[in-house]
Amino acid sequence: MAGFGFGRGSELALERDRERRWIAAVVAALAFLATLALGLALALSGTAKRWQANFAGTLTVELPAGADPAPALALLRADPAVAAATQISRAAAEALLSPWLGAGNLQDLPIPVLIDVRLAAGAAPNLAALGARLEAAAPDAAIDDHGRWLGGFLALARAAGLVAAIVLAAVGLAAASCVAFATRAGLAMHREAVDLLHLVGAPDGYIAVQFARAAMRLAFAGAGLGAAGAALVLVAASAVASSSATLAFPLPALGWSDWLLLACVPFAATLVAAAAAYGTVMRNLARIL
Amino acid sequence: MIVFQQVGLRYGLGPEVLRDVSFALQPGSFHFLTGASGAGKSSLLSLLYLARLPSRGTVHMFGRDVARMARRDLPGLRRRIGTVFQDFRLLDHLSVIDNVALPLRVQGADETQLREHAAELLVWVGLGEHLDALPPTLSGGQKQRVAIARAVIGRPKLLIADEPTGNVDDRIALRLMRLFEELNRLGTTIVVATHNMQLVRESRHPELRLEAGALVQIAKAA
Repeated sequence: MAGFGFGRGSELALERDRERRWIAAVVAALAFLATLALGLALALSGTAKRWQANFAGTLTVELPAGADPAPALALLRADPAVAAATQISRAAAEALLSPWLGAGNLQDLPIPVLIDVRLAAGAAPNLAALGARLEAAAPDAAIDDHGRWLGGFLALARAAGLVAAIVLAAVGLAAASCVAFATRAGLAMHREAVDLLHLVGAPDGYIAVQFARAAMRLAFAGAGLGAAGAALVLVAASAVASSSATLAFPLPALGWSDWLLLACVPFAATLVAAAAAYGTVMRNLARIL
Repeated sequence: MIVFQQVGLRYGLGPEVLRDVSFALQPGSFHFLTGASGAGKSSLLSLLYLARLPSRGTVHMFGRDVARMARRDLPGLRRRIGTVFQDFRLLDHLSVIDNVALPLRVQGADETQLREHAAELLVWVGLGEHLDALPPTLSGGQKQRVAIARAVIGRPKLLIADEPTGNVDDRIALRLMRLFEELNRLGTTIVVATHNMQLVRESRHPELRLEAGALVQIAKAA
């Protein structure tokens, strides 16, 4: 198979080149950044999906503070699209507000009357018509389907995903450039041995594979360290965030599928390095006989 | 058959180092390539072992015009040529047996077979006790024999030797020439570049003599 470039030849002894070991350090730093960016994007995306699932099929009806909720509750419970309508108690509402406003000073606050509405499975009520009927039964009633707030958060999660993708692309490009630079230097350093391999009949692929394998070894070691470091940072950040009661958007723990994706970063970096080294050698050798 | 027709070679924009060189090597022939230093021997050899293409003229090797060949076909042609370089060009970090096995390894030959074959060849050139030695531990003559073993392991159709007797005493030089004669009897075309005119005179083989980049003599040695 060596003739097709997949042989096990190691005549260039590239693993002995101390000058090329900085590749591992650079790839480690880049993999750290890539893993961190991807991890944060996954965490935000996970939070958005969880909240979207939680709020699906629910509405909140808000009445002015001190209003009688009975007419609104009766109207809602009579609607076939509504599975359940429950008033949120004053104590429960205060508990929801206390993280932001502090406990013990909410007694005199005019907290609106809130009704939690669970929609029937598959129901898609006309919110405008329902709002008009509620307005007639309970003046100044307002319906909140959480869409506006959730929409903003979903947009934030999508933006984070886009930023992570851009970071990954930039990091991949930087890693490929570093490997290409080091490979060109290696080709110059081993020019005599490369010439000899050519003269004894080695195809370009046989030589390129040796550079690709050397780049893979260095990149995998570096990217493994970088990704492991980033994983530790993500775990620590998640632990700190989940222990804080005042964060508006607590970072959830990453799921196993997220960790699996993050574990792909070192392998992706290794493939990028191998492809960059292989391509660089093939392009450079094509310029000589 | 190897045919050079009106071949010229220049490096970059410099003057021609080879001018209008024309000759033909019949299969199984044996030629000496002679000429003073700077006459163009190394340049002509580099064309023969396909390290370069001519700047003008045509070079046909084994029925193919090398200038018109696709790059991917060159390795196949190079495998039909064995070269003993003047400076040997052994890889110092590889053992003797791995140096000799190199031409077969790049072809993807079976590892066990190629090691067996390399070991046999090293015994043949008198280095059976040095299979695992590294080249820097060998003498000049021993390195040369490693280089010869590497050149012939692929059973080349053309064997090129650049100053093979330049670094060895007369006894080893004679032994090397017998080695080349033996390979030639087996059908290998041989080209030996040398400054050793006594060697040329004592041989029955024809001489290609270069002077200032031009071929001035293709004749039977006396």
